[in-house]
Amino acid sequence: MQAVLQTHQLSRSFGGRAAVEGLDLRLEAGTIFGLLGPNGAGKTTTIRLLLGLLKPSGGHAEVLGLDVRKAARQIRAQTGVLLEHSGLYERLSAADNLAFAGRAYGLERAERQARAKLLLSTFGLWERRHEPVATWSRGMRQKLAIARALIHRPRLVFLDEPTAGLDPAAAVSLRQTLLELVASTQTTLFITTHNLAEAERMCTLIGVLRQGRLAALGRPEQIRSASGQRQQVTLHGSGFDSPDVRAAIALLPGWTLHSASAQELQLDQPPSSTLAPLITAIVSHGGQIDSVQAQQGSLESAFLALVTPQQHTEVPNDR
Amino acid sequence: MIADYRAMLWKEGRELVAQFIGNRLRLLVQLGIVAYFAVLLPLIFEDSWIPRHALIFWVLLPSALALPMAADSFAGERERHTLETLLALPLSPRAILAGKLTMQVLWAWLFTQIVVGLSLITANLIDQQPGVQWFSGQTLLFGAGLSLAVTVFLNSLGMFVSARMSGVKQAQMLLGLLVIGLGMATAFGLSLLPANAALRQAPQVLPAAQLALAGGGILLLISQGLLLLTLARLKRPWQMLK
Repeated sequence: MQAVLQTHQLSRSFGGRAAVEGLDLRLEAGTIFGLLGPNGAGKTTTIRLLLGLLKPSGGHAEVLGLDVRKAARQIRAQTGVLLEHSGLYERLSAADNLAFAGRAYGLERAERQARAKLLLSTFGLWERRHEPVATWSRGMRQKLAIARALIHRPRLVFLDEPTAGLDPAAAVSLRQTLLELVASTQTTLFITTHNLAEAERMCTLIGVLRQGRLAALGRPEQIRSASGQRQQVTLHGSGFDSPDVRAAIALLPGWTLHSASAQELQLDQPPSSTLAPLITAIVSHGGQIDSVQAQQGSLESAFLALVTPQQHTEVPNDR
Repeated sequence: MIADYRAMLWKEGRELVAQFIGNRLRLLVQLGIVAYFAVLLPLIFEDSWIPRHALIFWVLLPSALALPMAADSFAGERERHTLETLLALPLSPRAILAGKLTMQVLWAWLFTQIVVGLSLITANLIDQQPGVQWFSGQTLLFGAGLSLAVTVFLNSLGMFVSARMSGVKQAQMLLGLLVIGLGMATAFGLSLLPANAALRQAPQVLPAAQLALAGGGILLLISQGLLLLTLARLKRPWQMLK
């Protein structure tokens, strides 16, 4: 499959401090990529590098097959972008903001108007299109800024913290609209976010940046397991305090007992294992199991494990 | 390039109109300028307005109009967080610069011509002498031309400064200091020349039209240099976003 975005050892430093270092990334068409990382990890710098707004200090990057050093304007013409700030002209109306973007992207008048109508209607802003943007709520402005990024049907859209500062209802609505748009157009999304739940729900591929370096790259479930966040298993029943049962569990490779009582056991399951050996070991040594609950470690705990400096969990990329 | 330029021109025009629609104070300031230059000053200077003072204000008025707008051109976009998004659009840096310059010059220059025109009407209305007082064709041409050159120069200087400042107020302060400094340095430099130096003799020896032409030419030449320097910065967005 053709890559819409590819970087090799992409780096950028400011005054000797590396903001992005040795970034290797490859995104295929239709991917919803989430770039996670704490403040100052290099997420916004990465977007600026990919749009040619910053010059790389080292390495190579291609967006839609175009070199970011040589063809920044062509890249900007074929991509849509929402940067850290919405970048809307607040004295102008929503319709004027979209009209300017449409003109800048070279759309003809009829297409410009049709696209503006479609996008403003999709985001529920059509009725208020003639009002100055300054009078709008943050959520409405954010929607308008995303509509602007989509006005020219870009193949790749960069969204820097698209739901930052929105109330939960507005964030859910925006996410839903974005997912529908992506599903109907096969657009590739490159999203940076602090919102891990959002990344987990939306993204098909996640990258975690730590101090400018890609600490992990993979599907959400891969990130969880690669960060060492194991599935937790809780069993309810009886006879769990039997020494034979405890000894049998201790012999199971990779299983870690968290807490135990006669009626309840909590264990960490080793990656790529099944529950069958555990259940067999308990039952064959006199224990009785009434229920089993398996809970996946959250992306949040995986993220924290990856970005905490004490835990250097370098994860091999699967791409 | 032409489509980019038209897009920028359209945006700048809409912003200019929106500034006045959404800001009554700004509108009042503009009306105040009209009242002061087009009504009050001709009433004060009476007979000397058309032959002398109107010419001076014809050349000076653009500075009052051009400097605030030019200071806002890039520093304002930076302050309102629209500069990065503007630079992330596929517009050519040349079109961004040309679009901003054209709209600012058009606005300041046309406004000046309208105010000067209105002041001539006022002067004629209060004039007791028979017949209509007017500038000669040559004075009209060179007055309007020099006023245009001054407007282009001030806007070019303003955009040069604005592209390097983080805020509008900083840009306005530096621009004010620069314009005052330039004026004082020119006057001081001329006063240091010997009394018989050709440059000091020029105002007495050369016809006004030739002086206007020479002055306008020098200003346009400096403007070109300033615009090229601003363009070089615009071509490196990472410098603009500092």
